[in-house]
Amino acid sequence: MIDRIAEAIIETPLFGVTLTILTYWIGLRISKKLRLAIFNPYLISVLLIVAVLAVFGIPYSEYARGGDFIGMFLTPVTTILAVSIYRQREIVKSHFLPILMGTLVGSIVSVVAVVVLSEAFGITDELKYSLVPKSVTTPIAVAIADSLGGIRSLTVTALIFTGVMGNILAPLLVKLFRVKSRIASGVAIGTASHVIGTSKALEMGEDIGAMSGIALSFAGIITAIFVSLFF
Amino acid sequence: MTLSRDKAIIGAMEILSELIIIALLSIAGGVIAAMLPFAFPPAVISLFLLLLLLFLGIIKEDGLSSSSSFFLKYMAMFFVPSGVEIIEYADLLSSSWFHIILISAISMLITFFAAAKAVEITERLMQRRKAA
Repeated sequence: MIDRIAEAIIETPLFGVTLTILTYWIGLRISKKLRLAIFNPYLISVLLIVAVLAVFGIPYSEYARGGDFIGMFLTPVTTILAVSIYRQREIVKSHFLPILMGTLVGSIVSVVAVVVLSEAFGITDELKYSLVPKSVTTPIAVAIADSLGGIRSLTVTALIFTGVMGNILAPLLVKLFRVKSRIASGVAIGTASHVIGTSKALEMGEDIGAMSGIALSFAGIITAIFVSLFF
Repeated sequence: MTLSRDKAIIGAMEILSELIIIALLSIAGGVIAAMLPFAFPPAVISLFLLLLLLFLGIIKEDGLSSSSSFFLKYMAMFFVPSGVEIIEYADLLSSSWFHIILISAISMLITFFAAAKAVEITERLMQRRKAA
């Protein structure tokens, strides 16, 4: 009887869909209480799902039938980023050149640094391609990893690590690198550590946060173009 | 009574038309990507198309308000399955986690420095030009 109930729950794609939405909702609630970069709703959701699958011995493929449905929205979500870029057009217009130069140099340096370090450590090409877009906002990073033949989930893992690191270190790095300009601080945070870094940038100041948000969109687009030209 | 029901129907139709626009743009991005002679993420082409249509005024920002606020607010949720998939790569992760962390950390620091300095140098050059 219990087996049949369990089977009925897992059988439908709704299992993966519901588990994703439910754990993300729990993640949102927890992250609102504990305002720490490590307790972001995304990470909580992933860890809870992994725990549920492990505890109940549910194979990944069972989850994926629903998970793939949620993942199907990768493209629409990336498309919608255009709206947030469009909304920021006034700020972009007034600081266009510094933003462009910062995100252009930062994005190229990021990709080159990953490639050089990958060669130096002798990791596989598959792993290297997974790491190339890891500074960029998640939807664009996953799209780039796909087109390169990297492993999506490794990209996302490296990207979360990078983002959390940027979030925690951002105020320290601004001092360490003697960054005086607030525009430079925002652009650096957004280019190096995407949206997770941007949440710290917003705490450092509304202007820094806005710059960081713009920079992450710019960096995503520039990285996509740069990677398609040189790989 | 009928008024609020009419409003609800119009609201639902707006969401549908927004979803249609986004779905068509997503498909169009894939079609264009398939025709390009080089590999380029289809989703980023869809983004360009929407940005273009917004700037040309063909699509109004308000015309996407329901779906954009939903997708942008809960964006990270749509990538949860990609993250969970890591359990399929447990072996790879356990053998190369150290390299992943090291490469991510070092490149993040270099990127931060390069982006910040590029902005500051550009600002300085612009100021000098203004002063001259």
